[in-house]
Amino acid sequence: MLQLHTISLFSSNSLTFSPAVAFRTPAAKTLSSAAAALPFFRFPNYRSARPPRRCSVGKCEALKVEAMAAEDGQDLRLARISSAIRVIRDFPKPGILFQDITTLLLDTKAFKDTIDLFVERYKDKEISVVAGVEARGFIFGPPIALAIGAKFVPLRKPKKLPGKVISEEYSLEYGTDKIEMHVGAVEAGERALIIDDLIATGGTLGAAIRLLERVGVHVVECACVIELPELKGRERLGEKPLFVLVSGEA
Amino acid sequence: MFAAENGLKGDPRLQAISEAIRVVPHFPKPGIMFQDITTLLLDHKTFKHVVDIFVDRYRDMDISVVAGVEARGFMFGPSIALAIGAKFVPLRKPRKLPGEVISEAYELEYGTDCLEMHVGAVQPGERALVIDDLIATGGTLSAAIRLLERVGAEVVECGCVIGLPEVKGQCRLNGKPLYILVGPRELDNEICSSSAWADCRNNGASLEQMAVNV
Repeated sequence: MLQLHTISLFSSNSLTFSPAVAFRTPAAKTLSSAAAALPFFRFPNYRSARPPRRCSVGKCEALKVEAMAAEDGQDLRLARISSAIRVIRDFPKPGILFQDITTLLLDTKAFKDTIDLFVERYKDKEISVVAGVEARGFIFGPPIALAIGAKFVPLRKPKKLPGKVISEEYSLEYGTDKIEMHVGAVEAGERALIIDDLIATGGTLGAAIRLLERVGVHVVECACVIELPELKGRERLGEKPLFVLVSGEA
Repeated sequence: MFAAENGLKGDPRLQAISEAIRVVPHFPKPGIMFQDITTLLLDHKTFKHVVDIFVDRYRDMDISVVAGVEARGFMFGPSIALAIGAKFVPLRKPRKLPGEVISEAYELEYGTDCLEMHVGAVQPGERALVIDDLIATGGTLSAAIRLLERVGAEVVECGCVIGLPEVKGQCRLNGKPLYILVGPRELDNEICSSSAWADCRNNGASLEQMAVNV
């Protein structure tokens, strides 16, 4: 995917990743302050750091330790994922810091954790479609789709898909580009997840949402490994929630 | 070379895989019957069969690298890599990989193309698997094998979902074994007549594929 940020957006030359970032969907409930500081995963069976009321002291303690261990586990996984991502300067052109996930794919535990984190979030959300954006979305999407029992739909650059397609245009810094999907791959009423390795300006993901919605699919969420928040890609997704594992910060 | 002749004879999963592939005539140009695996990806159970067959074959072969060829190799390779505990290495068209790369040229019908891999992705002595959706002439996969061997890896096998007739009779590519799940799908209204049965067989169609066609 095309990454359009320039170095002037960053106050320092190094791009560090913060593994513990809270991202809230528009309809998020308020969490306890302890939980709010942790990596933020909104799934129905998330255990709050607060122990339940009216239990014995011993049981409360045990639950609290268990919940904290679960959260520490999340932190450790995210820390490893974050540090496995390599930043490459001046690619594809001078001034751009490229977030390279190929090094993450070389770390078998971190890659597995990446998939597990997405699967944990989506497995009980009755998602029947995982749409992955060419080409790095093809690396993360299929393992998630297989694990949650969904079909995988590739969203591709023009003229790659052999059958009849529908296209959606989106703006680049200079000019426009298009993504395409096979006609008949998805059906109206299906619930979909869109996957890409990274969200920058949100142009590609915005086009992906429009493509799926045009055929009557309900896009439940967009999910990426990395977000570059300064580029405000999240805003280009309209009302659609975005879930990310790590963010790049200045 | 074909899975049906290599321990999976009669395995109903192979027929399901074959039937899940869509043929698109005259893509990308007239005369080419394109084997479209996107329909297989829509069939979760059958997609899982593909991954399971490869995983069952490779899990005990001490493979530490699964190299997938852009872009359809990316759809199968990572799931296999995750299941067998190997790293996934994307082999990409020129100028896609951001870091330092090594390149290997290969021939097309007209002209040449190039496959690239990140320097340092693979260490000498690692045992590698190369995965793509389809093998036709073997040009791309040969380039993939050369890339991996140049950095001292040992290519254990090349695995593909579909093998076209061009590879008929070849059980090896660059001396490396090939493992293929199914032959090409014919258009539904083309059935192999008894006289064409011999052609099907000579074209290297899998036993399962021939059973489907007749």
